[in-house]
Amino acid sequence: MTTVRVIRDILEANDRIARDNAGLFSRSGVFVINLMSSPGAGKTTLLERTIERLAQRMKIGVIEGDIQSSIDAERIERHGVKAVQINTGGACHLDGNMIRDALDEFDLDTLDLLVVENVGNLVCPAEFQVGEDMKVMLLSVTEGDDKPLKYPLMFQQSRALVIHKIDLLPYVNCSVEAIEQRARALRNDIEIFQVSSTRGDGLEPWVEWLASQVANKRG
Amino acid sequence: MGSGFRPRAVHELSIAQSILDTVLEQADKHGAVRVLRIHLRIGQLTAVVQEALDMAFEVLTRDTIAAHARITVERVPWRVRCSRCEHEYSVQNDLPTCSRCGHLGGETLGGRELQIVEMDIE
Repeated sequence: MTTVRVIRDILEANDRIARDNAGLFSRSGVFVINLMSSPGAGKTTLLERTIERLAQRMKIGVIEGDIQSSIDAERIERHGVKAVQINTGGACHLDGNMIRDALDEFDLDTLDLLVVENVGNLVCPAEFQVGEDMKVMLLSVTEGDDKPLKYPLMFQQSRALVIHKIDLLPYVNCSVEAIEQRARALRNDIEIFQVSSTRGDGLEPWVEWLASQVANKRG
Repeated sequence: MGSGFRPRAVHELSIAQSILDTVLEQADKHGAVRVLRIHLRIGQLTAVVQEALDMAFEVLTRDTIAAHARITVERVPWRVRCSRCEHEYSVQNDLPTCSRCGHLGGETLGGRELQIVEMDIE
């Protein structure tokens, strides 16, 4: 028997593909966000409201990740934005390779913003890079303020956090202050937005911040 | 396997597949005929459940030279440097709370590891 020293990152192959994707995005000057949350937190609804406010100002593309169905891509395309649906067939996250394949459907040079809506899950998407400029996380107030304690990596990896469905705060036992304090303990530069996509509260600060990030990358 | 368990198992399945790819490549490089043990380093911040990983690995390694290989895991604590007093500590509770000054938050130094460290072959 021989012991062989290896020392290799297990996700190295995915990280390499993600870096290649990031190179493509940089060459085309497209800003890419990886949107993550648990199922039902409202990723697609937030995205629809965001597209309505930004579509006149920039060219947007969307990659929708779901275990199955193309409902989300159809919702997005009703807003006149190209959406490519990835069905992971059981896998709980998108990876670099799936995104690479989906990119063939876009003319990246014409895009300003590409949104990758990940599979609803607070665990796995945090581990798998896809080549994004930043991860953005949604947490709806119905999920509770203990989520930063249970899923620290997700909060730590996210450049921005949208606390969603704030119109429901009167009906749930959830402290927005606790979410903010805990999220900042995990990442002190995290941008936090409080949003209700159904009522419209807080959408403007979120949309303007996102637009400024897109403009920064375009240079 | 119940459907409720599936997402987590699938997460470890991707990781098990990546491990197997590297292990087979390394085994081939060293002319191995059998892989006996694979030693991993897994950080506390990563959500890897060893039972799920073992199960995924068992399924994936059938008919390979890594079939029946044992997986051993060294867990790496979540290490943080306090952003107020610079003390370095392992996170004991849910959030990084400095063991010296009680400050919440700091820079993560370790705990995100997901590595293959070594393997026994013959």
